[in-house]
Amino acid sequence: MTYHPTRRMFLGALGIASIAGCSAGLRESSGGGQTLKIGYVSPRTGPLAVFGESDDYVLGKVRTALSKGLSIGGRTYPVEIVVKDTQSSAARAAEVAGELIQRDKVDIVLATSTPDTTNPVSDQCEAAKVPCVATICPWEIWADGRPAPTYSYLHFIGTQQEVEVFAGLWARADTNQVVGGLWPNDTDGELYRRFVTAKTGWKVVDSGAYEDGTQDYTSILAAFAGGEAEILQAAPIPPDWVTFWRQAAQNRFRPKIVSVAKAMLFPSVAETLGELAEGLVAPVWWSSAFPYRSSLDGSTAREFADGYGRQWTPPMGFNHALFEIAVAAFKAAADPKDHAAVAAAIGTLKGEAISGRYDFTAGPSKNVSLAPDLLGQWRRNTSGKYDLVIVDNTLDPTIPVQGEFTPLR
Amino acid sequence: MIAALVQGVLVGGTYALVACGLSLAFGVMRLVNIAHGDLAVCGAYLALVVATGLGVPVLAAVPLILPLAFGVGVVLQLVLFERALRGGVLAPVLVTFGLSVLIQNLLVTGASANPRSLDGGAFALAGFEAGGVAVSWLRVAGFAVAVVVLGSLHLVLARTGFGRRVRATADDLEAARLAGVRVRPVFAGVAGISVATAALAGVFQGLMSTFDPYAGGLILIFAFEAVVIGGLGSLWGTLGGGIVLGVTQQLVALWDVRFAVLAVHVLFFVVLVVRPVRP
Repeated sequence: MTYHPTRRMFLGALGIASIAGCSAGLRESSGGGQTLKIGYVSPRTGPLAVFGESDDYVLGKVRTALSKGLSIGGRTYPVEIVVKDTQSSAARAAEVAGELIQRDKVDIVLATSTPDTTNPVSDQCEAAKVPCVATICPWEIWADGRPAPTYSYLHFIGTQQEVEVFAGLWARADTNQVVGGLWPNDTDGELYRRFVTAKTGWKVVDSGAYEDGTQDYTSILAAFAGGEAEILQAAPIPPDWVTFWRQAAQNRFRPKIVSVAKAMLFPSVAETLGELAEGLVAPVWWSSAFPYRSSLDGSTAREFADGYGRQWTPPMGFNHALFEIAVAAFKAAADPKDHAAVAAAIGTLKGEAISGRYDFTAGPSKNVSLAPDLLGQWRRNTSGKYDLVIVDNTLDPTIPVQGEFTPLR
Repeated sequence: MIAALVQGVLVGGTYALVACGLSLAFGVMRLVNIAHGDLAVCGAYLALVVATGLGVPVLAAVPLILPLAFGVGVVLQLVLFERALRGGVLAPVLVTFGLSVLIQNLLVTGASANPRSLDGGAFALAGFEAGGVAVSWLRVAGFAVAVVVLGSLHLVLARTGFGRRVRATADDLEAARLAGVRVRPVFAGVAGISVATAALAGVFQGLMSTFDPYAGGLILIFAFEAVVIGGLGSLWGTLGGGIVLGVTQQLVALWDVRFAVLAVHVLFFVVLVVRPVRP
């Protein structure tokens, strides 16, 4: 028998294959009566895994610091940390948050890295009335479009604040004040488009809301060159940025200032770009040069970063700070096992963590603590690696500047 | 407009380069290889390891990688695909899907999820201007390689004894077998070529942009669309399909970049609705 393959057959088979998903085994854990259980949700695998890369190190440090338990109101509570991986999926993040609440019966949930983790986890916690602290998601994305939060909190920077800081830097150089905006069709891209376009004094050449994963940027580059953009403001995902910036070199587009949010946070991306990374400007919300200490074991940001053994990444500091905030909340609550009391206690917190100061009493939105945003410029160091050197500290002058900003040309 | 057409054709060449191995494997063996994109990513990682390990430029590593990839293809065919193909239409799809998941997770474990890229040196960043259109040398090279690969595949299939056996097997497996064609080595050779072209495409992908262990999925989607639009199992059709994808993407981007990638998927859908069966 012979048959001729048809497209329908081919696609039918393809469709069936895509149904064959797989699910990971669930971990059981026993609930101790007076143990304080902390649930930690982060993307450890999948496209966002670079955010969770330092998790094992951070969790190790926290577990060591809390190994003797917490002494609250004359009682000592042992602390257990239950870790869940979102596999970089928002649906999976909601699912594991549900598991932490229902099965593990945790006393607080910590969620970190991108809106795909922070928002679904916060929603689950609100529904189940379990306290939650989230980080690494601009507060606008976390707060917008959700009902006013009671049990969930966020400690991070904001996009509007970041745009202000970027604009401050642009004003320092001599340019024609034309900003090319490379903003994709995602939440971050839309926010940058909204805030940069709203700023007076700058003419914007918009890339249009291209799809994440676009392989060809020649039409966008032609638009930027045609509009004579001397400043580039971009908020792409890391792989797209590498593709774009290489094509920019191929097409000889070289603005005076290139400020890149989101994509240039990680040293691995700078290493991928090599020489092309030199002089790019990126936000700094945490760096090993921050003059702050861990409230758990007193180690400085420098010691904390050096102990990692690899090049430090910004999420390390904020992920560690989540645990510091959780411990502070347990201590501030009358009864650390009382969910409502712990949630209310977070709202009264003001303090210092390895990431800097946090203040949940006076945020820009309910249950938000705003972190300061600094700017850094990528520079090659003597060992050939690229470092993010702090060049702007307007929002937190206690953090020292490490170098002078220099335009690309 | 002219710029968009030129860029579209060049981009299409790179789509066709990924797609030709997929097209070949399906045309000859009826093998829908879901792991094709992941094998391309493996090729890029291999180039990275060889180039940094030996301290040679990426382009010098390519002649070393291709035989290796060919060998991997042969082994995969003999060990895995051959058995799967005996299990009906669905088994190869499920097996290669499993292979895809396996490759992704092995790569994450072995190389971490960080996006990597291949350093093509000054050549990869150079460009030239012709008639007001800025063109990248790398893109031109990618297109040229795609044409050379497709052309030589065409010659091999049309002119050599191996090609004759491949065509006979593709037309009618049982009849070819009755006529004395030893099918196993034919299939193994085709699988080898398929994986080798995938690896080559992966290297170009790595030179042009980035790759990470999960990049295979997106590569596969564009390759599938090029294959389907160009007509299943037809090599030059695949090049045509790739170019149609590239040009569509560019022309729509002129109007609004938001719809550039979407337009490609819509085009694919329209082709399926209007002409679902190969004539």
